Amino acid sequence: MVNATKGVFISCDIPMAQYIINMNASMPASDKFIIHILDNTHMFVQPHVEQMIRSQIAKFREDNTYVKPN
Amino acid sequence: MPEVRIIAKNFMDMVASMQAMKLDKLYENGFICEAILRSLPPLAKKYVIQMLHIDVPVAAKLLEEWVLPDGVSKHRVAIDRLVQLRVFLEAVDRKNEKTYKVNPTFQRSLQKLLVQGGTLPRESMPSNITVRLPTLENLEAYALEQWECFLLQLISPSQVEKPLNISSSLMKVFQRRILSHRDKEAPKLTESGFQFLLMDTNAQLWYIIREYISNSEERGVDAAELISFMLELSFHVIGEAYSINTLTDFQRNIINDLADLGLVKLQQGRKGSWFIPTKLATNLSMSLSDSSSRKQGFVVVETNFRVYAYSTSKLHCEILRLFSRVEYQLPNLIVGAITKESLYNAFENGITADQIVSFLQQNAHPRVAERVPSVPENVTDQQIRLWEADLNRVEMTEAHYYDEFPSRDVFEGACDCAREWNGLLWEDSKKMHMVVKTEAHHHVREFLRRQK
Amino acid sequence: MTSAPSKLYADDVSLLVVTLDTNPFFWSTFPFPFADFLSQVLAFLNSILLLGQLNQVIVIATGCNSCGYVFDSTSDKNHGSTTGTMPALYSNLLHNLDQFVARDQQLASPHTPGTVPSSLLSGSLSMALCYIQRAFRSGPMPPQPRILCLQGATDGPEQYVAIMNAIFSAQHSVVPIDSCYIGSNNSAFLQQASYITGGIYYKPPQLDGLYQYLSTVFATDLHSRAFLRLPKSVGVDFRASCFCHKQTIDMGYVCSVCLSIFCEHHDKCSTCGSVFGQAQLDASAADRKRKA
Repeated sequence: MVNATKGVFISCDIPMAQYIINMNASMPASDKFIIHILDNTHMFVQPHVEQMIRSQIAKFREDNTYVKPN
Repeated sequence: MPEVRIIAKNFMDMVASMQAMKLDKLYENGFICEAILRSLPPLAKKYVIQMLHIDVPVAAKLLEEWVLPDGVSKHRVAIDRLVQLRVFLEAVDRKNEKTYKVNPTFQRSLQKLLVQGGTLPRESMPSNITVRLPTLENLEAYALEQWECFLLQLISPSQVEKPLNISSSLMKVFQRRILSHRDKEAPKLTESGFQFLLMDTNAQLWYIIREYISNSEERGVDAAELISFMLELSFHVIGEAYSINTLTDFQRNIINDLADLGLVKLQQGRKGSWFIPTKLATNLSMSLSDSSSRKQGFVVVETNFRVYAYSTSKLHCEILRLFSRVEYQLPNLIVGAITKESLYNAFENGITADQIVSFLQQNAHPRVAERVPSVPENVTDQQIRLWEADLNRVEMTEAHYYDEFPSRDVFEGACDCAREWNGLLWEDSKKMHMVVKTEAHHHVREFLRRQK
Repeated sequence: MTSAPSKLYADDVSLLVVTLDTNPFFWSTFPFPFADFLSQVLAFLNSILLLGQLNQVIVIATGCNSCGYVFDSTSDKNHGSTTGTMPALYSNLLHNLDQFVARDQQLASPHTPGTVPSSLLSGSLSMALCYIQRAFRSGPMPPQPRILCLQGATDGPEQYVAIMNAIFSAQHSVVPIDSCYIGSNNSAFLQQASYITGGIYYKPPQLDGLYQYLSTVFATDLHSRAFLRLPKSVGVDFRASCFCHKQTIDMGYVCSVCLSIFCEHHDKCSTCGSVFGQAQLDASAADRKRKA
């Protein structure tokens, strides 16, 4: 019988995908959210982690942005 | 982040949504036919002129032969538009083939217009009565000033020195989608509001007129009569004075509202009062594709991201503040810079990079407008668009993951079903797994249930 | 020679300059009356103006001895009151046309009897191009210009050089020249003009339906031409006329410096002044030197 799992489909570029996979690996076992890694630019994750991923990516972006010291 | 775009439709789309009988009645007026004709896409205009004197239905296949392979999609768009506006009437002939014919009322009015010319229902007043008529430049300046004052009142009423006469209920109608009114908070611009500000004047004008017409419909005024008067107004001559006495009461009310928006200028002399149409009024019958950007620009963007706007208008300052950091204002110049923070702010408010870039390009100062590109590409492609893309690196869609299909046929069938509902996000035919959007999940589940 | 590519235009605002053949010698012997012809042309012009607020139409009358502007849709004189039976456009144009024909007749010079003097097409093409150049400089986004030649009289070979110059000038400015030829044979000049500039040459088979041909073929704006099937030229007559006698020739002499064409041997090129036959003389002198 066909099995259907509910979740969130993520599509991004390769470096971002690696970042998300790394983020997943650093989580404790109960919090791991990746259900399937589909290919190097797509993956399928648990529902409700969207906001968490977005805020982590925003923080990652801020960390990597140079701000001229005043 | 979902994007809400105000689609800058002109009120031709409103006309298209009217009932068939009302539309046919509208087409008895030659000016309306002319305005509708002008609003059509170029290929559609051509077809109307070609078919204008043909009385018999023409097979759709014949029309398709007129087009080269490159033009097939444009042909479809043109025909659809013509049928939607009931300019072309679709029928089926005895061989069960589709045919098109020009709407007879439309045809008659247009033929008459071609041969006899159009006559306005009113003549301009003699010059011995109309004193102190403004020159064309003064009139254009007046129209621009009124329109800007109206826009400023629309978005930040506190900044206006001389408020217009528009009733507050009417203002609220216009502000419906542009401002969000929250209790105890000052009204803030919505996403649609930001996009509205960055549109060019013609698109803004139609948006307002559209809201005006829908509001009038709610108050019980006949939209057809309103539209027909406005289109008639657009064929009057700019700068000529027309007596108020030639208007019905209904039309007089409308003229008063339009005067506040800058479409007409009202004047009173000793022997009578009159109204003078401005460029904004005559623009009502222009089509969207017509050069709306033939007005003079005022913005210079340099390769170091600095923005110099030669303008004194408060409205322009507000618009620039939407996406750039305004640093200082001189008597004739606003100086600012496009920074990451200012752009991120804009993106968060729902403005897209394309809107910002097209605003800068359309309003480019004549000194830089001739240059290709008018806005340096290191600003547009390499920064504004890049920063927008940077914010949206990851696309997330709610979906369902399907696996363990009993057979390849079921898998292929489910894939096709998902594709039909535009929901297939990803598939692996070797492993027979697929990902389907949640919106389409229901349909795929039904399909699979039926397979058992 | 490949025909000129047309510029890619995004909208359909057009500036149409029409050169109207008013040659009285041609019209007096032509079976179709000028009045009927003119009424169909006027309806066509009106339909161009109908299509867009910014469309412009200019009409230049081509006479035997002169050319003149008879109508400009952008001028203020058109806002006069309509006479009720016809729009201001018509009355204005007809008035100017009458004046022009009268003036042209006064300038008449004697011509050889039995032949029909040709119309001054080169003059009206030049005037059209001058107007278009002015339009290009008129503002940030000028309308797309094109020229439509409504011609009936046969080509005058004496105008060959001037017409070719006008054609190349139009090609350089990317202004297509359309031709609607109603005379008996084909006009070589107009065929060449349309071919070189990327316009359309068409000879309507039935003059009763002229308006329909005009609106189907020649009303197409430059933007839509990329998408519509329009009459293609079949066999362009590329014959030239000689520069010395202005007669059409098939074979002749060509100056290798400026490419002027002559029907008989000359010592010196009349256009650029280069001396002919020099190389031959030198070569035979060199031969004689070697032999000696």
